[in-house]
Amino acid sequence: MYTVSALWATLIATDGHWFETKVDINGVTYGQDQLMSLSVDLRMFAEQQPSVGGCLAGEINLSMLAPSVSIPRMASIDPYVRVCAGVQQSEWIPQGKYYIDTREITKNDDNLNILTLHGFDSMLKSEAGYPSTSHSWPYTDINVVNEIATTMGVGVDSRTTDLMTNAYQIGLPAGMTMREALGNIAAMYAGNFVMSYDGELLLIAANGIPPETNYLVDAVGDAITFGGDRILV
Amino acid sequence: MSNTFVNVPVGKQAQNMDISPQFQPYSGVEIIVNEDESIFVGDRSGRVLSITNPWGSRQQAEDIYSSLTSTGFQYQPYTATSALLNPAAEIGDGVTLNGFYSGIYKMTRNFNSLMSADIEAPQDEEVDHEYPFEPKQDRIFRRQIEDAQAQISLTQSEIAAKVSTTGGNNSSFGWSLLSDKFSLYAGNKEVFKCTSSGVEIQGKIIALSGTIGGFNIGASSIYNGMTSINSTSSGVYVGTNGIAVGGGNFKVTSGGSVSAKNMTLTGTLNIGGTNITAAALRSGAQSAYNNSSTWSTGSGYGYNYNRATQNGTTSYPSYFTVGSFTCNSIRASSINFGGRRLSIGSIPNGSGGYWQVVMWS
Repeated sequence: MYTVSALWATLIATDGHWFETKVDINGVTYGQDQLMSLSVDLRMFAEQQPSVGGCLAGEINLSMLAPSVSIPRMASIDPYVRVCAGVQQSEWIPQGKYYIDTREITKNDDNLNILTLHGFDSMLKSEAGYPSTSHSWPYTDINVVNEIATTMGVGVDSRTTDLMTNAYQIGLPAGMTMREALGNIAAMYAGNFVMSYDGELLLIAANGIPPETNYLVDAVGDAITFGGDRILV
Repeated sequence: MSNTFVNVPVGKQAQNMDISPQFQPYSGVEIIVNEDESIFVGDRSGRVLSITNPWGSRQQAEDIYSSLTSTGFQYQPYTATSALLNPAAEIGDGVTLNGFYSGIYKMTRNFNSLMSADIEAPQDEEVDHEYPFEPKQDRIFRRQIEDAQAQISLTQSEIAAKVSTTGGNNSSFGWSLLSDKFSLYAGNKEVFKCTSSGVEIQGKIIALSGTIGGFNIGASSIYNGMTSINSTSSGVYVGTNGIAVGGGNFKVTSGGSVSAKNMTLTGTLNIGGTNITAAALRSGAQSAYNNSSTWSTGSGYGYNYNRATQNGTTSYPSYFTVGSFTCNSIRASSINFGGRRLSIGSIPNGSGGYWQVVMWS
């Protein structure tokens, strides 16, 4: 779970709370007054069942009133969300970093230009040959991941580093794309790579969900809190 | 503060929920390294996690197996649409749905005022039959597969037996593959031996290319340095068109032409019947002899002060007979003319000395 503030936790537990959305496209912010629909598709398995060794790209679908400024090809799309209750508003938290793949402009019933964008996250940047290196091989798995991340221009989520503690030695990924190399490394840990909300490489083990916790909930499943804290039973 | 995977409660706050039976626990891990190699750890009593990874190793399989079995992980498939899921929840987080616990493995997030999400732990497999029934066709197919596997296993065992022992008949043709060498035998003799030191062959070798002892093997030559008989590079060339060494310093062609930069002979050199030795040049009855510092020649005979050669026979007479000849000077102690002798003598001159006189006797 993305780390949020105490205010976020308080507001989301408040009856009548709602969420607001904004999108940064190529550095220009667009609010809900211009957004018509927005959704992201994320997945951890390449197949419709548990599988490992994949590098899964997230997708974004966005429709908005066509802005007056031109949007460059492959421009970035960074969605954000915050929780609101009454007059209070939380911080914005990121919901990923995407890049435009296709675009389309149509007219709606009011004869307004509607811009529809579809994009992928940075995982597609790994669809390139492994970069030439000057160090010797074999190389430790986490170093290979860092090398790929640097080439992709992204960071590595700390949870990836926490998981990759076996220090497997990797041979030269000759003839492989970075995505293939990442997938093979993910398989070593029975996991898959995705991009986090911060746009960093995140390795998730197939059995990586935290141990089950049982909180006291009400009839609709909301956690019953005591002074703001959930009650573990 | 770093992000962490947590259990996100959804409870019953979803439009639709479909909870499927939990998968069996994992009991084995199989890493398929390539078409010929796979690594299996555990057993097949439960589910087997199958992984394809060219970098796979047994250690990885054991690590994954340990991780799966120590946590007792069981995959819980479900589908929940329009769930009121905290937007901070990520792929990989746990989720509690109406008393069931699983993970967020697939998510479509709609950015509306509720930030609802369709979340899922997908499954796409046949029903896990608790009371399995196998149709007749399936039984036949399975039996055929098992038969084929048994035959393949038998073949593998035969191959394994052969490569670990010796075979054949050494008197005709035998072989052995040992830990330190591979040998072939014929006529009770080791005709081929391959060890860590190299290969030894006793018998005929046909090589149309390659190298041997630094010499290149060509279709009609072997050479080192010189790639042709007329090459000026240093080295050696031996071919069907001739032999050459030293970049042409010495060359013999298949036509018999010899060229050499320098040549020393200690025996006889015969040129078209003419012999050349250290002391004489002789052609038939004609000879030329090295008399210390000068050459003496003649027609029909070779001359020296005490040696004569006629018709190839050398003699050392005290005198010898010749036909007519012309010369500028004659050195002799005496000369016979028709049985009379012409010689040099001396008589006293009365003063204690001698006069040189020509004597005819």
